[in-house]
Amino acid sequence: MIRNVPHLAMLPVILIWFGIGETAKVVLISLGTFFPIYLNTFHGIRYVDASLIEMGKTYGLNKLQLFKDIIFPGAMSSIMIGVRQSLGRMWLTLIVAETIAAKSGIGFMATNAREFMLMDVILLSLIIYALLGSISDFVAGLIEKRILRWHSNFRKA
Amino acid sequence: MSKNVNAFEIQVKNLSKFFGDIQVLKNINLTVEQGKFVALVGHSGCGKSTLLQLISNLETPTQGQITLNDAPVNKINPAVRYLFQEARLLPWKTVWENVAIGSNDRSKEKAIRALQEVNLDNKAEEWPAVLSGGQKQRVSLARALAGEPKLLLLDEPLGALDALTRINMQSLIEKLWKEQGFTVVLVTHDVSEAVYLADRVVLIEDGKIAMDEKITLARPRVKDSNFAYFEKKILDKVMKNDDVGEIANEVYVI
Repeated sequence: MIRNVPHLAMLPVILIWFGIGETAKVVLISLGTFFPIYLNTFHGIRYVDASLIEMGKTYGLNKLQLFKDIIFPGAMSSIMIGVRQSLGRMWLTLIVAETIAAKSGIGFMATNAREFMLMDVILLSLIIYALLGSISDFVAGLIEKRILRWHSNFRKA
Repeated sequence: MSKNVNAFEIQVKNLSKFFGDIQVLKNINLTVEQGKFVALVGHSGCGKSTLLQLISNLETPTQGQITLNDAPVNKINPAVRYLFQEARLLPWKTVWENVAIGSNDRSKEKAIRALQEVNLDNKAEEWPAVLSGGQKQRVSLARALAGEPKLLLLDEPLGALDALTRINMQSLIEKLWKEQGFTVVLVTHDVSEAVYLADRVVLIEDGKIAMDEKITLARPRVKDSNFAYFEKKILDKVMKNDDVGEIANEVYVI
């Protein structure tokens, strides 16, 4: 049921529990990024090819080996989808958290600048967000390419 | 043929298997001597694959017992290797890493040696995705051989291959079996393939052994009139209890 509450709606609760500051931000972001990764990992593991697991069993793999050699790599592409979704949600949550409930940070800077009509600072914070988002997505893409290099869709022609 | 004393003798005694209320195998008794090549043929759903799964301990018998060299089957035996209809290679491991799964210490050396036996050592560093269907099946054969099996269970491993690749695979399997002397049980619905490869063809029908025919042809086998005799004899028996005749006698009005 917690999953169905929009994590941003938890902001007032978290503010009351943790106060304004870093802890509240971290908690809110954890809340926002946990479920996409969790759901995709769950989905990935559930849909690992059963025939491969059967093969592993006939070849005498123990539970740890089954996980390490078959289940985890088999779920990896789904896990990476979760990671990339979560990266997007991470920046979104950070902006909201910093705008509403922070004493420092880029979002705080932008909100402050709005009060004083400092358009240049507002623009600067937008550019920083854009850069951070692009960089993190790029890095995630690189990691994905590396981990899933066996997959024909990720191989160079 | 070099006699391998370490090959398994399979003894199946009074074996029955139920899936729910359906009895798939009915009181099967079968002995396969060490180093023999036995083919199980029959219609799909006759229970031949189930028998193979029971021998490999993928399933447990409802009644009766299976022994390998007098030891009852009650756990996965590393000396028994199973070849599936599909290659079932792990796409995230390279070819040699896949083969290494078959040997208990996962050594690259053994994997490469097994790949040499199927003439694929030049693909050792490739991903399985770039291989053709026949090559994948050869890799899975190498994976089975890497563990130096005493018994090889083949569950229609050639069923999904094209005709030319099949012929190559058949002679490859025959060659490796002669060299290494393990026992082989092959499940197939291709009677010709069974006659070509096996010392003995066992026909399973409706969960029971309906026919047990020794193929006395000399190896390497050629498809001459003697071959055709065995093929026809078995095929006739396979088709006899069928309603193929009835269908042929029906009158169609167009």
